[in-house]
Amino acid sequence: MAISIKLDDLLHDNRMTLTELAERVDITIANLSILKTGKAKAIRFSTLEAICKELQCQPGDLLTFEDAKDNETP
Amino acid sequence: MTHIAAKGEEDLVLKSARLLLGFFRMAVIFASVILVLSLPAMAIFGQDILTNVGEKLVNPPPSSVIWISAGFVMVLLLIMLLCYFTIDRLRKMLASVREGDPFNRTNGLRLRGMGIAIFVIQILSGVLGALIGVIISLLGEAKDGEPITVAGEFGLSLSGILLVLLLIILARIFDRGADMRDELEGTI
Repeated sequence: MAISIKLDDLLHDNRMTLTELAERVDITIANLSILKTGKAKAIRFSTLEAICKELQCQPGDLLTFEDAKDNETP
Repeated sequence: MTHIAAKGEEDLVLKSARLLLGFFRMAVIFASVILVLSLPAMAIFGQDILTNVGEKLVNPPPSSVIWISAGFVMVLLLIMLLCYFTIDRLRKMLASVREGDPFNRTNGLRLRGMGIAIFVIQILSGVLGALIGVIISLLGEAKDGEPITVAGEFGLSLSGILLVLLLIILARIFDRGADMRDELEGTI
């Protein structure tokens, strides 16, 4: 998928575990794991807002776009 | 406001539909057994039946009437099998509604299958109508002068064609519903 999630890095920077974040943003660990592993198909603005608030970051810090063409070798 | 039954619950409509479909299923099985049994019976007693029927007719009917009647029974049997297929799919769909998970791809497939089955039933009904016409023309005239008639209507019907269209369109709607459910399930 061209959109990747940098949740692992942000959790590390904030010295927070996935369980702690799940409790703070009121989302199940299962759902956060889906988000972390990039298996989620969509993210609600409310979820994004809650995560950004807890991790003190911008949406752009959490989500990055990688163009598949850029990664292709000629 | 309409009350929608929760998962595992059965309201009056669902319960009635389930009982009615159970009854139809048994009726179709019973009718199919009778039709299957009638085929060897026609082969064994066909000539006797023809002689008895011939007594009431101006001209004795040809023996081919028996074979055409056997064909009629076989087409009817095929219709019964398709009815069973349709009822069975409908029962499974009803079960998925009761379980609270009706918007899935399997139900879309079931609806499409039911649509095709009813379309084939429509065509076979037309074949039955044609076979009845042939049988009546072979029997000729009755001695009492009364025309030979057959109860029931056979052939393509407008309601049947509309039902086929409805089922095919509903199948598409269920496919789209399944897509939307998948999207929703993948939303965090």
